[in-house]
Amino acid sequence: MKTWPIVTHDLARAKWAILGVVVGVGSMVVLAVGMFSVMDTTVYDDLPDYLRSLLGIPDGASAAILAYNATLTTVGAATVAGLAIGLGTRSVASEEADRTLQWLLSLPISRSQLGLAKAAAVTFAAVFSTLAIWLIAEVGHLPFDVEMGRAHLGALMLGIGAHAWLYGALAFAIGAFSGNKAAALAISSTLLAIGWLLSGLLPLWTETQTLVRLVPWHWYAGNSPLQNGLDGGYFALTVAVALAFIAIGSYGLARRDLNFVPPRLFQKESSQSKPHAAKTSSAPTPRGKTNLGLFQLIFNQTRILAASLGAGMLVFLALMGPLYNSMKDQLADSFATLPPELLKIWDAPDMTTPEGFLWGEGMGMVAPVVVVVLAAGIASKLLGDEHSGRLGLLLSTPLQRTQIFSIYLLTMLLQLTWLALATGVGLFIGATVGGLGIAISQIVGASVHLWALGVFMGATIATASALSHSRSAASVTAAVVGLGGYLLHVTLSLSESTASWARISPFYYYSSSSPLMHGSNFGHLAILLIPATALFVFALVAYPRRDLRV
Amino acid sequence: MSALATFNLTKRFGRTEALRGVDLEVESGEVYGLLGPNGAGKSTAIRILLDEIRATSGHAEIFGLDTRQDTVEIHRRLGYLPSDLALYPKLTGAETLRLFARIRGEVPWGNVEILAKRFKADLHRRNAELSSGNRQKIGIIAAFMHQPELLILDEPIAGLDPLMQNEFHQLIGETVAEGRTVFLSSHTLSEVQRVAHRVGIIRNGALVSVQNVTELRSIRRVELVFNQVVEAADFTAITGVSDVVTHHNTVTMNFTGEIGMLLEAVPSDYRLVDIMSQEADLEDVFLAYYRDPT
Repeated sequence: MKTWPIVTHDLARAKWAILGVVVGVGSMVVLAVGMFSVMDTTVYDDLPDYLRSLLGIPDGASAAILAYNATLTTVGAATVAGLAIGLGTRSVASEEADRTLQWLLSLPISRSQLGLAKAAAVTFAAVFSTLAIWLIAEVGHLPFDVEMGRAHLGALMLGIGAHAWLYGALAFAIGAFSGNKAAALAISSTLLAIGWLLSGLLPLWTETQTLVRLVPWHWYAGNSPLQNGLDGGYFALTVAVALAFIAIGSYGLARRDLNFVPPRLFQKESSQSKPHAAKTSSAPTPRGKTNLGLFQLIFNQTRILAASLGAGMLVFLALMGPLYNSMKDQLADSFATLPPELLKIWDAPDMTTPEGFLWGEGMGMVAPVVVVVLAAGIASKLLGDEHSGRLGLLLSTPLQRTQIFSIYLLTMLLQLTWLALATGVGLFIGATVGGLGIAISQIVGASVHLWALGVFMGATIATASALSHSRSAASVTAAVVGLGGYLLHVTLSLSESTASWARISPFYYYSSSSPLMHGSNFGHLAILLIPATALFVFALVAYPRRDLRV
Repeated sequence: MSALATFNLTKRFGRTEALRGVDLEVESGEVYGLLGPNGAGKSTAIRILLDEIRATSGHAEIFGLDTRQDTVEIHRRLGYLPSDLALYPKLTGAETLRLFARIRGEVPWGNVEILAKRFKADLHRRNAELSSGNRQKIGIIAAFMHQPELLILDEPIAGLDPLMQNEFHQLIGETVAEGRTVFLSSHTLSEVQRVAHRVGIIRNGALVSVQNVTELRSIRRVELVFNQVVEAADFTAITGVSDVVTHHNTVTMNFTGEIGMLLEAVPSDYRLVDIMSQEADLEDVFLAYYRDPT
């Protein structure tokens, strides 16, 4: 098959991303199983059957099996789906933006063949990563005294793989149909996040229970595959929809014009798009205006990302207040009997309280993911400008590297501040409209803790960008510190013997003091912000000392 | 049968008409240069030929096959060097060429080695580490390595140093000597004049002229100085005259034929003061078509 080299080439390009996800998720599974195995799990054994079932403990299995739910069912599935989305986006849309796709298509292969080869690479990547994590999960419990009982680990992994494949196929289809990589990434990621939320929320009301059947996350997780095995119907539906996406993408790719916009050189800020900017003056530009102009240039490059994420958080949290009101009775019924240890899995003190609900649904996992995405996105702009040669152009002006780098950092801080502010406003609107009675100081506390976490994450990613021009280094840092830090905090906190080790995670200082309940914890804020400041200073010193990518 | 032909090729991007009814014909075994400044429509035409984008109306044929319907068969027989060549940054030159060779099939690796040696291409460094000229060499090797019947080259000497440009022009000469065809676009006039048999001049999306380079050499650029202010209209109707430019008492024009016939055709009320004549080059022809008509 002539297109097989394209499949192997794409897989080779993706190998580090696949390896990162497998090692990241796999090590978290093993770590979590280890943590659960040393916990006192009698509390779980005493739970009524329906609650054990609700928690996902299969018949005859140790409570330590919860480790698989804590690491695989949500975070693992989302991570593998995220990998598939990234690869699906890159398969056509990113290659088209890089203009390598056009050259590939000058070879004797049809567009449909190319599309199918690209989709096959996404499929293999989803299969390989799922199989590897499955293998780790199968052998990961062996060193510990954990009884698997009737746990259907294979069914869970099959569901995770198919679900990831569906989202990878969706990203491929959007990218292949439109050639727009931002659309492919944003739409697929948003639908993934919305799917996860809806699959948890829709079943809570009788009026919306049936609608959950439309949500792909429910297709994979709704039947609790670890305890009940694979739902063949939904699995077949997932496969069929993924195949349909691939067919649609290949069809769209074969029928549209390829994009051939030349590499952008800060196009949006050119005098063409802003006629008033074309006005010239014979007077020299003051130094301060140069810095301001550069700041505007860099700020404008990141404003859409920051505005979208901030607006998304604002609307999302504003809706959560009324949502809590309408479901507090169901929440009380479901959670009243749960021991507090279990709620740690959701990183929430008590989901029956408005503060606990808002934290669990919005601030516990979604908000940290959003700040990491924003910080990594801004760092990626810096590295993108370096790779495209735009940074070299900027440096040909009488500006120092430190100046330019500090403007990127300033942009990052301001955008993170906007995000924290939007989050706070969202919480305030939600609390006010829902009549939840949450004090302003509590909302400010949660927002400031989120901001501090974002600053810490931004500092680590900025440091990675200062030390290496590799985009992988920045994204791996974001993944390791973000995902790894989150999972470390969750898993280490679950056992008394390891709880003190949770302090090594930045997420401990973000959430353990329950800022939405008790307001800011200045000690914890200092622990996040002081190292962040040191890292920023180190990055500013290190950045001018390395070679730029040429 | 012509190697390449377009029929009333038109392409619109929204309200912008990038190509307007272009009829091209490239004979087998010739080097055809498509000339035009940036944004004239050269790359748009090439991208339609490669089926990257589709014509709004009209169609194109290569080897007598439709460029939309028979893409795979056409691509099997052509080599392509895009402008703004983009390579996979993490692959080496050798890995890039091996990938392309595997997709193509039947590419003798010896050809790659010969071309790499000829162009002094470093195939063992990552593409990201190569200068633009060295990246262009990888593109040239990829276009020529399977000895295609037709080469479509978009700004092929971009980034090459003069020695490599010379080597490339020799390669073009050898290629057409073997009966193969080269279609290249450029805005480097000297390059096209040096290697092309015919040139098509494209302006604002329309093909405004096709010239035979040999015939071009018979065109003379003539400057006549008179004792009074001259009117362009008095010269444009003269047989063999084109591209008339007047300035006070001086008229400059392209002329094909005997100078004596030109002088006889000059209106009798003009008194000739001075005359200069030299061989016209492509630049004169090119500028004539691009000079702002206003």
